[in-house]
Amino acid sequence: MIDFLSWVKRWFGVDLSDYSLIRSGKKRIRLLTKEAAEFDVRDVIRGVYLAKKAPYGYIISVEGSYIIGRRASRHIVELSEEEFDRWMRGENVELELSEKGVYLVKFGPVFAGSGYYNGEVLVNLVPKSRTVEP
Amino acid sequence: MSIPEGLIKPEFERRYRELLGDEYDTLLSFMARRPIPSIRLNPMKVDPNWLVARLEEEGWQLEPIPWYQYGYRVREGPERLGNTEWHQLGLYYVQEAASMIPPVALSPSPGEKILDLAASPGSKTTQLSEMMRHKGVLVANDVTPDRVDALIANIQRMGSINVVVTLSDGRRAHQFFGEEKFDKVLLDAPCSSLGEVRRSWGALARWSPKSVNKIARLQLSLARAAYRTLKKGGLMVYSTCTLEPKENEWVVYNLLDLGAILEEPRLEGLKWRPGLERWMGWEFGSELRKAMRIYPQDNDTIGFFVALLRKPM
Repeated sequence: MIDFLSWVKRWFGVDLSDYSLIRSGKKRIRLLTKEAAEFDVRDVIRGVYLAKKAPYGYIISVEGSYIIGRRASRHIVELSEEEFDRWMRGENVELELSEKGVYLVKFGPVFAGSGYYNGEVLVNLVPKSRTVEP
Repeated sequence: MSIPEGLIKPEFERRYRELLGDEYDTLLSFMARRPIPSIRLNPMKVDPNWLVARLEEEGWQLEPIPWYQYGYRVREGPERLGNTEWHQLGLYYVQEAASMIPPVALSPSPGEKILDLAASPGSKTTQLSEMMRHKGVLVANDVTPDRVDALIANIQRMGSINVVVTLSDGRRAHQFFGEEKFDKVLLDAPCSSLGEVRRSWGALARWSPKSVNKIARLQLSLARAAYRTLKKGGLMVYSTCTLEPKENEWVVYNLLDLGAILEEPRLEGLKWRPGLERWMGWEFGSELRKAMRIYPQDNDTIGFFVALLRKPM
C-alpha cells in the first residue's frame, strides 16, 4: 500500500491520506472513507475499486480518476470531443504527450478513467463494461 | 396499449374496484401505459447544471421531478439511457421517479449511520450515499450473492465510497447487525410489484391473494427485524412498489404494535393519498392516514407506498 500511495504522490502530486485504502486480492486496491473502514460488521466488500498494479505503474479505475484527478497537478490529459467519443467506445487515442506512463483522462469537468501512454498512443484502460456500445 | 385480456383476475378487479371506486378504470389505463423514463443525476461526480446543459445540447428534453432536486424525467432522449458515456461514467442513474421518494422521506444527513436492508440493485443506496455527501456510514445489505453482485456494480459506477456491503438474511438483521445500531433504516421491501405493472405485466399475471399473503408475512419479518436495528429516536422508512394493503398498511399497523410512531413525510410537489384506515375486515386506525399511497395516475409514475416511522426515545 505504501508503494501505491507514494506512486500517486510522485506521479500525480496527490495525497490520499484522508481516505482508507484496503487490498483486495493480490493486485487490486479499494478506497473508502475512514468511517466506513472503521464500521464493525462482517462485510462482503467496502468502498470502491480504485486501482490495479500493472508493469508500468497502476491502472486507475473510472472512480479513481475522479478521486485522484480532482486533486492532481500533473499527468492529466484533456481530450477533444471527438477523442472523447472514441475513448468512450473503448478506442485508443493518438496523442503527443511529454512522457510515457499512466494518465488520467478528462473531458470538460468529467473524468473518464485512465490510459497508458506508450510514446505513440494513449492505450485505453477503461474496462469494456464501462464503455459505450456502438 | 391495453392490458391483455385474461390477465386481470376477477378477485383483483373486485378488490381494486372496492378500493378505488370510479377511479378503478383510470388506474387500469395508467397501468397499461409505459412509464416516463427518468434519471437521477450524481452531484458527487458532476456539477448537475453542467450535465443538464450538456444533455440539452445533445437534444434531450428534461423535466425536473419536483420531489428530488437531482431527478429529471426524460421527455426526449436516447432509446437506451443505460448506454451513454454519461451513464457509464456514473453521472446519472436510470431510476423511476417514484423510486426516488423513499430516500427523500428518510432525509439522510451527512455523518449518520444508515442501513438499507434490502438494497439491491442499489438505486436507493446510491441516492442515500449522495444525499449523505459520502459522509457517515451506509450499510447496504441483501440476501443472495447474485443480488449483491448487481448492488456492488452500481455502488462502483456511482462512486459511493461510504458504503459497506453485507450479505445476510434481513429477517435476522437484529442478530447480524445488533440491536439499536443505526440512526436511520430504509426497508424498501420485496413485494408483489403491482406498482410496477407499467414496466412489466408479469406482476399482474403472478398476483393472487395467496401470493400476497405469503409475501406480506416475509415483509413483516423483515420490518420487525429492521425496526430492532434502529436506535431510539431513529427514523425508519418502510416502502414497497405495490398497492396491496396487506403488504403495506397491514405491515405498518403491526409495527405500531411495537411502539413505532408514524410521521408524515414532507415531499414537495408530490400528490399522494393517505394510507387506509381499514381494509377487508382489518381496522388499521386513523394513524395510518400519515402513510403515503401513491397511485400511478397521481403523478404519472409507478405505484408506491411509503411510511415514515420513528422509534420513541
